[in-house]
Amino acid sequence: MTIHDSALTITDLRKSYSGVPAVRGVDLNIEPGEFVTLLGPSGCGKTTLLRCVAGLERIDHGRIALGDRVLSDARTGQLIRPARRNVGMVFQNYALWPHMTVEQNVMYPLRMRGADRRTARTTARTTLDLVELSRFAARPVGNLSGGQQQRVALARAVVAHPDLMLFDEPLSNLDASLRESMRQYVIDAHRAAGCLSVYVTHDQSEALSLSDRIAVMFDGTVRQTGTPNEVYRRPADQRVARFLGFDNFLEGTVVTVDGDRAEVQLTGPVRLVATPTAPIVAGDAVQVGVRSNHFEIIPDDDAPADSNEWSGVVRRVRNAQSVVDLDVHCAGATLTVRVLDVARGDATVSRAEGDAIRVRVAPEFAVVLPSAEQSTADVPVTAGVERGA
Amino acid sequence: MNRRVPLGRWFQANGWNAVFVTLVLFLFVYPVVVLVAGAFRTAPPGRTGKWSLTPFLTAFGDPRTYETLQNSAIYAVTKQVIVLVIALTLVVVSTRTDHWLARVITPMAVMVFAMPGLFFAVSWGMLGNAEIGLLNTWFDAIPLVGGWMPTIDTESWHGVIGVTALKSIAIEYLLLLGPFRAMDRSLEEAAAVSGASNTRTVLSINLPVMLPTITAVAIIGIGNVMGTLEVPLVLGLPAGIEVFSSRIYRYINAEYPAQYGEASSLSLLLVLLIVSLVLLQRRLLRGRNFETVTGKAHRRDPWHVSGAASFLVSVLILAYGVLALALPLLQLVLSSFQPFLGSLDNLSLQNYRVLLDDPAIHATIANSVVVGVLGGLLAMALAVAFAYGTSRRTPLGRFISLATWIPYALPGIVLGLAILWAFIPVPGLQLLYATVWIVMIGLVVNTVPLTSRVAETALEQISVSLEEAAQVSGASRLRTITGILLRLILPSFLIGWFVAIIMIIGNLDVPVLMSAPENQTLSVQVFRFYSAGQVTRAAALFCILLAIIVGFLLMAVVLRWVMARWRRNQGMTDLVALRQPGGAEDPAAAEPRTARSTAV
Ligand SMILES: Nc1ncnc2c1ncn2[C@@H]1O[C@H](COP(=O)(O)OP(=O)(O)O)[C@@H](O)[C@H]1O
Ligand SMILES: [Mg+2]
Repeated sequence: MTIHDSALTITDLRKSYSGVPAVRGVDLNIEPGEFVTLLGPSGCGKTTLLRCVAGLERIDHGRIALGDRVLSDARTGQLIRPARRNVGMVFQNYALWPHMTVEQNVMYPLRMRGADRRTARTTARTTLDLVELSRFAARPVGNLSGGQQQRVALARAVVAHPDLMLFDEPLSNLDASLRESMRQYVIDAHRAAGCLSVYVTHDQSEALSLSDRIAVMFDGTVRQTGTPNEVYRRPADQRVARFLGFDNFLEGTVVTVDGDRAEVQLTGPVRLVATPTAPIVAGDAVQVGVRSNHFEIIPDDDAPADSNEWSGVVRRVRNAQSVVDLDVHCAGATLTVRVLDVARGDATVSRAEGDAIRVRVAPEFAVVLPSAEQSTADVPVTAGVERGA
Repeated sequence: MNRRVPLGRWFQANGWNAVFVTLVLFLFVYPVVVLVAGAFRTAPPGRTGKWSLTPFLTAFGDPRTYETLQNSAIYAVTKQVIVLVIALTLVVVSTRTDHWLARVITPMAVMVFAMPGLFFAVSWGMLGNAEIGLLNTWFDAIPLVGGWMPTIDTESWHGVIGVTALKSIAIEYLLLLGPFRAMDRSLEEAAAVSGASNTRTVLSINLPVMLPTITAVAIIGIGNVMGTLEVPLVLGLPAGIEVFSSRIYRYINAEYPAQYGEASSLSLLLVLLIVSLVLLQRRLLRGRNFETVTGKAHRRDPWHVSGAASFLVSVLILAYGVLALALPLLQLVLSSFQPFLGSLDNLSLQNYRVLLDDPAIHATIANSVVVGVLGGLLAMALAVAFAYGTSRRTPLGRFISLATWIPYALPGIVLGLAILWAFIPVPGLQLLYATVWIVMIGLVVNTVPLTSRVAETALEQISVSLEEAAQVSGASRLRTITGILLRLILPSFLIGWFVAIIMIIGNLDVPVLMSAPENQTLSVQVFRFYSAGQVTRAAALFCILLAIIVGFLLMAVVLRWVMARWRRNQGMTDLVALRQPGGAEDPAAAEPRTARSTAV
């Protein structure tokens, strides 16, 4: 078994900074070749977790192993130095060495592993081809643009065939327009390395488009792991849901549960058929989450249905870039309903303040979440992103 | 301009600028002009003499000049290599490792830095005395070993270079400390992840990235040592080793009649050398400044040093502490109780008694304290006025900023001479001759480059808009300055003042040629005693000088502590006020104070 076939196992990892916990008990298993993203708001401990895996931080508790090889073990005090872990790492601020050329930067990991200059140069050139920067090999890195610099950093991280690739928000310092096109380079680097990758980001669209699997982190713990589709459609709890763009939360009580459908009586007259994301039984107090863009405005001539439907009055119309948000007051709830700007000319959806309105939501877009005991007001809400998973 | 502007109006518009320019021209530029002219005069300034090339040609025709040049180069370069290796090692240990002595280094360096150059020269002159030095006596006392232990003689090349290095290490360490702390740690982490060991990281990443800074510090160090006087005078001259500064001293003090023209010519050469070094450094730095300042950085666990490396580092740090502080202090205090150097039988307070019974010594002590306190205040006030009143964007501002650097290129002894010669011929100022006030002016000019940096840093942190807010809310300009600005920079001002006091009181090279026998400063008197062979009396007087310096140092430390507390008790209002919306951490948000205009 080569090390490339080995999985990364993180067991009950904890790390505090002068008594203040940054990571509080993370268990994570990453399969060989897998691309896993740690997604969470700023300050939730993603970087700390990644640095523990890189060996840049001493862990307080738990264990990190790659296959049979123990990298860090708090109980035995074992700590393999970063230099001996054979990892490739991409830093948020690129961390290129300014006194070296592009090529010298990429050669460095090879030279440290004992390659002679000529071999190192040949390999470095091949790797620079991967990120389409061979032309710039002889340039000092300071002359490159941000995107190019980060591509050099990608090349440097993969050049020495690491057993493990680590990315710490590599795209967050780049322009929004550049970020999307850089994703392909990240994927290429991951494939070229052929090993498993751990990628840190707070950007959900980045996480959804890049990952095989996402681990959503809050407050130093992993709240949910799953494929992008699972995480996007079936958030495990209210905080995860909020972070992933759910912006309507409605209180209610479970009436019946039937496989992957549950019937919920909301506070007020509305009854809702929705999708549970965790085991629930009839009688449970729950919250139902809906993304504002998953509401559908019902044409006036449609007959009323007996569930999943609200009628109310538009209280406010808020124009955003390419969408319009409507605040709709219904009996027992206020909903935020998002419609596409281009649909505004359409008489069936166009609404002004004070107009009556009926909206509905399909059962697969309404998720039943365990009722949150603690307040979730402190969770930053990211703007809803207009894309399917 | 075709209409006459009333003087009052003109002053309102240009008054402050005129005052600044006059002051700067008079204190910083005019003495240099006199120095240049002096190289072409047959008689000292103030006397009637003729214009002539003779002094200039004599100085440069003298083979000793070239020997001096060679000596200075050997001295400066050898010292610099040793100092840089040690200072860099200490900086890496103190900023990157968990070595048990890592936290001792900076306080130690600050203490060494506060010690006057004369401290090392005089104490090592005693310690390393070939016959009766403490070290040689100790070595001789060790059985068996004593016989073949080499005699330590600090009046030698080794001694001159080694003793100069002691203080230089502290200075260069402190200069390198900030840049090394600010260096982007992720560059090192990237190297570690790439497979580099810590040593390899330092050699292949830290040092090359820091190369521009290191080169700058090295060149500054070479320039400084070319002009340093104390060690070459006390340890070099007895061994027949002459460098620039001691040669200039001897042209005036050891030759009869004093050869002013030659001293001036040699000074010019020295100044030219230092200026070319500074220009060279700027050229090397151009476009090669790699320093990247980190934003929000993860602090990495310090490197663990163990085993042989840890042992070697311990030896280095402890040896430095012993050689630069413990031994010299021990020797000075011990000698101050001895009737003559080396005698261990009749320790007594006799030296102190004699000194303190002497009214002339009282006057000397008073001179030093007054010159220090007043001169320090002036140096700091001038610096603040220059930094506040000028913007570097205007040509005038650039001129003033550049002019305040001039004394930096002038070694103290040269600066002293230049000011002396510049002031004597001016009618009203002749009154200053042979008083301590002219010495004080020399020391103030000498200290302005240092206090200017303190003032500039302090003012940069205060945003212009804060000041404008005060003006908009109806405060007059003067009220603004006194009410807001001075209160905000008060802490930096006081610290700068105390540092200036310490630097001035310990200084020998400025007053050594300026002060008249009847109006000495402490450092000059110590040197006089020492060179007249009254070594233990010199030690006792030096202990008094050190006590004064330590007193001011303690006051500065207490002051800092008190001010830190005061700030905290004020609920950080000052700090909050200083932070712009957007945060002080955001460099784009904080307007540098130099951006303001000078219009009044
Ligand atoms: N070196 C450090 N010292 C003290 N606290 C730290 C340090 N590094 C991180 N933290 C704290 O640990 C928490 C997690 O930080 P981090 O892992 O950087 O979060 P993220 O990468 O998810 O934004 C934060 O509250 C942060 O302030
Ligand atoms: Mg982070």
